[in-house]
Amino acid sequence: MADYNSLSDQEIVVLARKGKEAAYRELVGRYQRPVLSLIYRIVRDREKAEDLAQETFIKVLNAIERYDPTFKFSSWIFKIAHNTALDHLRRKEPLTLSLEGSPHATTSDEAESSSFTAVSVDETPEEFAANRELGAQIDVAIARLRPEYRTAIVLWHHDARPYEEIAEIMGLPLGTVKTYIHRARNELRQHLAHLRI
Amino acid sequence: MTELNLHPEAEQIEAYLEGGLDDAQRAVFESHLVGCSRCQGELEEWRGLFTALAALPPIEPSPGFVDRVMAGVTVAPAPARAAAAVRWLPRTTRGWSLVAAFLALPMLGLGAAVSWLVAQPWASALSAEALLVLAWNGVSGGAAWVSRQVTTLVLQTDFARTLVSGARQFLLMAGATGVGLAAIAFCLAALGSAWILYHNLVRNSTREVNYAPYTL
Repeated sequence: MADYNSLSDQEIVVLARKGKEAAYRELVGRYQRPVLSLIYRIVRDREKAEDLAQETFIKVLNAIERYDPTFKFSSWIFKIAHNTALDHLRRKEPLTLSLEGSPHATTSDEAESSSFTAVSVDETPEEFAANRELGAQIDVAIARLRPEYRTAIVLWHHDARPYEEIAEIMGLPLGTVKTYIHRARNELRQHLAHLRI
Repeated sequence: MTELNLHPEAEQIEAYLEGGLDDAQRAVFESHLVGCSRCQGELEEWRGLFTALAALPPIEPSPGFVDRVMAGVTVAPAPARAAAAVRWLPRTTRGWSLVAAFLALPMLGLGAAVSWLVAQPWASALSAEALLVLAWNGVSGGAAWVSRQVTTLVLQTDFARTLVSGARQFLLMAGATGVGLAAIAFCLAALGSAWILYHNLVRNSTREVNYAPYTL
């Protein structure tokens, strides 16, 4: 059995095209966290994010024959994830941002884990600061950004993707991506100013 | 920030933290920082944001995620040896026509020979097997005769005489090693020509190869 850990994405894709199921599993294993993280930070619904991530992988892996190895596999899969999440938001934005959490939640824990802590403009810094976990507050601040800003900021800071790849993923000019990220950071600074991080 | 005493703009602070400033720009920026507590505070705020964003925890998929994905994936079948052989087959109608014509030539010759034999008055005394043997001998003998005639005709031309004369001189001058090298070069050139002809006449694909790297 091939040592998949030492192989590049392109080499894994070649094995997948030869019918190696383990190669498919390796690709899912490599990208399940970054893809799920990106989608979650766009849609802000844990359960729905997992459904969309699953949908993304199924789309990508069933179309593996159409992947052009001259491009980065990560760009391709993030592009599909980004589009899948935005498509969902276009259809379901009001429900996704429900304060009560996922409409699919069946228990209070699930509802809590999928809930979106919306921060209104009227909310005081003291109320906002009541959320003690910094990561959670940053997630909330990211959720207040435009969806396109969310993708750009998560890909740059969280996934360490270069500007050029983000431009490819989002299908936008390089300058637009830089502007998005700059504006997103400024908005985040304003949203998180009370924390003095 | 165009001068040392001007505060850097947000874009410059971001570029500094991204490592996007060149040496000269970074030197000016850091020189300003030394004497400006306001900008030191500003930089630390930006640095804090960068650090916090980079430290965002990844979202862990629930157990069984990979299996649920794989349940919806059709794993491509492993290519069989037969499938690999198929790659050598022509892909165009013209290619198939050429192959078919090439394969049909001996059959046509054999068919014509059998027809001619059957039409002869003495053929009725022969068995079918004997007729086939006769036809085959006739075709192969005829092909050999045709090739001999063609060779003779070609060798009688001035061009062929010049070629033969040149070849004799080459044999005398080059010796066994030179002849061997020339033979290898000729074989390679012939193989290359055949490969080019094959790809342009037989393998010239009419299928559109359209990779769509970023769309499904």
